[in-house]
Amino acid sequence: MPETKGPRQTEGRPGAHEAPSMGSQAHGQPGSPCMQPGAHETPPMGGFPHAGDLLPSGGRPKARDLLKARDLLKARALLSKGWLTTMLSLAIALLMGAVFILFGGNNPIEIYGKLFSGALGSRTGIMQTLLQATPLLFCGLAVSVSMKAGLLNLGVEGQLYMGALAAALVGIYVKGLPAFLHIPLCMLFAMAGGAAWAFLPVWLKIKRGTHEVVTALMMNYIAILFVDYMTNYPLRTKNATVAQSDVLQATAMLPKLVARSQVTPAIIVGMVLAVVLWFMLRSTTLGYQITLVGSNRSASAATGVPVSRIMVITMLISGVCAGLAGGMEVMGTHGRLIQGFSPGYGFDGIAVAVLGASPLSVIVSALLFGALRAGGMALSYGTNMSVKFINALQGVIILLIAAPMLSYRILTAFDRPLRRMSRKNSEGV
Amino acid sequence: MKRKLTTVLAFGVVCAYALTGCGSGTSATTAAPATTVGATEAAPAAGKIAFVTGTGGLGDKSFNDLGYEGIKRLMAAGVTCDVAEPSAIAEMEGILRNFSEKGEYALIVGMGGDMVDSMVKVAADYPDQNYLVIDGSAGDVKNIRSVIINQEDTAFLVGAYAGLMALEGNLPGADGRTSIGVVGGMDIPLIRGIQTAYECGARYVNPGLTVQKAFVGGWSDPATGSELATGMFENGALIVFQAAGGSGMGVLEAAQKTGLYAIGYDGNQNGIAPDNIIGSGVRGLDAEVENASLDALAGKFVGGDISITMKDENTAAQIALTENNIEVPQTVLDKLEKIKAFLVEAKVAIPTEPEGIEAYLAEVGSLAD
Amino acid sequence: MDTVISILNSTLRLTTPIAYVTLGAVVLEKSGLNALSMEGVMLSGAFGAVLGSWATGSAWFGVLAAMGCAILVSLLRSYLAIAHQANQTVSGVGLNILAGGATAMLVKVIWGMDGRSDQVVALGDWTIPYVADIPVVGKLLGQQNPLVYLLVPIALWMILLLNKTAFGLRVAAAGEHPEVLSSLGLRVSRYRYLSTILSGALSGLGGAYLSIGQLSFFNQDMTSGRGFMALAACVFGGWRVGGALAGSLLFGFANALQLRLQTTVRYTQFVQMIPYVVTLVVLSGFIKRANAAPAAGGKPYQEQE
Repeated sequence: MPETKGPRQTEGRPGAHEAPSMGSQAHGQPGSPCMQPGAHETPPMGGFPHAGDLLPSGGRPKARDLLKARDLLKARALLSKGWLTTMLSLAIALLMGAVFILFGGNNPIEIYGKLFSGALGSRTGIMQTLLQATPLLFCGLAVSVSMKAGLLNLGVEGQLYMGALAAALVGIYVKGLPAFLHIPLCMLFAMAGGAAWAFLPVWLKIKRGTHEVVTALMMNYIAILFVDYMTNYPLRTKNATVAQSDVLQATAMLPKLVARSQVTPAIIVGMVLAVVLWFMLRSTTLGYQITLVGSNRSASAATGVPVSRIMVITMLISGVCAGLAGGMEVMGTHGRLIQGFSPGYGFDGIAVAVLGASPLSVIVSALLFGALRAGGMALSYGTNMSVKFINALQGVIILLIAAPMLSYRILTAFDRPLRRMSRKNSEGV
Repeated sequence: MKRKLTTVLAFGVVCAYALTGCGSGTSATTAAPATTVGATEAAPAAGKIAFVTGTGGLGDKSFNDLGYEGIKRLMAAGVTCDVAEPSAIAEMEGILRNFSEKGEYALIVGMGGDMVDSMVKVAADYPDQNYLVIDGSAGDVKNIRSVIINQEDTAFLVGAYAGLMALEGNLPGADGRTSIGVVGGMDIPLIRGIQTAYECGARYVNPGLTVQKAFVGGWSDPATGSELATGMFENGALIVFQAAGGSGMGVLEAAQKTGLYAIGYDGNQNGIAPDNIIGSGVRGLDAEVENASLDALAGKFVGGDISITMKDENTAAQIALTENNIEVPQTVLDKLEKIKAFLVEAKVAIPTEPEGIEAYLAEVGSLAD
Repeated sequence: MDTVISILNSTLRLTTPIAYVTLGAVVLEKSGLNALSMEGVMLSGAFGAVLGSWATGSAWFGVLAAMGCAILVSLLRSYLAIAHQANQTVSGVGLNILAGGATAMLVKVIWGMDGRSDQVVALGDWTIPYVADIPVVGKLLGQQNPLVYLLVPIALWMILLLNKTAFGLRVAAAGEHPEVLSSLGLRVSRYRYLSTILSGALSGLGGAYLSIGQLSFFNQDMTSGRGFMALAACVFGGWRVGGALAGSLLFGFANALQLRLQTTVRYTQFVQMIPYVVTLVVLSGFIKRANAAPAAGGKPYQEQE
């Protein structure tokens, strides 16, 4: 496509949200225009073109570098552009959704109104948004962390189920513990369950060079079928028409955060986890190494970073988040292990992680997708819209967020001077 | 007689609501954002019905759709009904709360046993709201009516029908075929119970028969459903019964393609391939949804567990034989009546897990004896 | 003997849809675009087939529509990935979600039903004269769906195309050393787009086999993970046509076996795991690092001027 000619290269790049990943692009081997190293790896991703992309150097400023930029005002203006790009992606997605709605013979304003009021217009709506956001938050964090190391954990769904199973086993069969010990124990096992399931794909990748995406996908099916077995036979509660375990011991259940709802402190645990991960990635050696491995695997190996170990650790952290997602559902929302309780939270986690580039913004994007799910529930009554509309809308959002340059170009099309400036700058590099 | 009575009742109720409740009903639907505000004023005129499907949603051509048939009849009669399709179990409680909070529903209907947990919790918070759950047991709760329409009876009857048709149905292409099959959607207790009862029924009337059982592993994979059925036909099956929701359509088409036979479930599916679908097992789900709704609209709602078996109501299990071109011999029809009587008698409980089949058959013997 | 033939027949039917999509995945991956989007593309193909057949009343137009639909959908993703440097993994996942949602929505708009379309004209089986009369082989190869037969010439053509023609070498170069292609004055994006079209057409055939070959209607989410299995088969085959087909055959066989074993085994969950466990074991045990993915796979490429 003629759109992608070199000179505009620096207008914005995918995955340019974190400083090191930008670095990898800027400092790619000379003569190699392929900017991400490592075969078939997932490039660090998500996000939108940040301010840094527009800076003359075409380099890799961190937020603090931005402050060093000569023109602080300009930097701030450009930063707002980055936000604008995300907002624009969402707006374009909603517009496209409106076309879908019109095509289906409905009024877009009415449908979006219903979506909005369903998610935020009432107390139950807000509770539902929070409830739906909880597993999405954990899964989003799981995917987000893995992407920081340049891996994509597509096995979150399976890890979630294994975490749920482990939590359920401890929650049902360990008796006599006080709640302040029982709940953490369940969480610990949930984490271990998820991490165990996350370990194999990355271990096989390092030892045997096995494609981790495919391995993880296969492991999902295996985990789901195994939980099917467990809920149908060994754990099945008596006389139920559905495959589900007994209710957990009262000491293993999370208390309700708000009366008359299913919202539990799990959402707060998730937010704390997000902050911890954010801090870990930003300010610890491990975090630095993870982002380094994610940005350029061979280069980080050359500087003495134990790449394999970092990859394993990252996937284990990712598995811990995924396992917690399942554990929290069992201990909070359902109070028992139910066959097929996840409608694909693990895959939705990818969307959440992509929209929120850092663990902190994953909180926001989990709430957004939670609201979308909650609002979607309201769609089914009073309209003849298919509830699948929400899926289509989610797909469009993911596609647009994955291609930040598309929205960005649409934005800059109205901003010719800026574009000319940016082009001139990149020619100068 | 009972049916007539309810119909008359329905008309009365509908007319009443057409006169009184109509205006408030329409205003409530258009003013969507103001639902919470409207809750108190709409509460006295609770004239709507809410219908919450299982996670399979509408379009499963089975359980949820069959329940929805009852709702459709209510709508045709002028009752305003709102439908919600949760895509996850975690959404159910929120949906039930949403409906309950509005206070404008005479009855909130939930489909499936996985709704029970959520419904019990919500019902405790809204003691004046009436609920109905199909195929689940909420126990002794005043404002929840739990109706379990016995699957085993229907599946047993279907199995007996398949066994009889294999024995003396004079179906073209039956020569040398000594088995029948059943394709389930997923390996869950409900479907295993159906498969087990089906085998019991078939072998009760036709002891020499073998029964092939398998699961698709999903409700929306008709290609695998078709493959399973085709495999069963190649393996000597004459008739394959589907209890596989959306995947079951594949079973029906496989029968059409191979020129052999299939039996539909939860709804009359005979018209899909009139030469090949020899009948459909039908449970009275839709009638239960409709009746409970009419009771609630008339203010005669009664909660509690209701288990409907042939013993309680001899129309609970039925086989739809219309809308197809299959000639069913009179001897088969006669024997089916005997089977129904056998089910009404219900001396021995039909097993719900395959382990119980041999013991059951040893105890009841066979129809011929 | 009958059981063996029946299982082999079953294997053929289960392999065919995955094999087409696997071929599509190989082309796409070879050109440097990852094939995580195959699930969505295949589903669009299945939908297009039913739509085409429903609109025209001819199953073969349905096949054409399937190819067209799948090409359009895969071009959408490739456009984002090539022209706008979208992250391929994420856009692949996004496309799958979009395809699942959009097809289910359209079913409701077009046929007014939830989840399932009307029945349409399906592809009839072909009977091969003389072959059908051979005792054992005839039962296997004498009468099958046309798309089963078409798979053979198409696969052969693909082997030739990818290995023996300038086009094939350039596609491989686009995935392996795009800068070399560029230095020859050829546009990388051109070969990636052409591969996308070819891959879309092939996946469309796979989808069409599912919806109007085996069945005669569209059901929401009817591909049920087959696109992902195709990706696994592509990786299994070391990104070569022959190997990838062997991979899909293995999966088809494991699945056929699984379906047959279910009738005799008590805890079916473990039987249902077989295809996935087999794939996992084979992938981790057999694939050596030598069969690496295309070096530039999954990465955006900036054309050099």
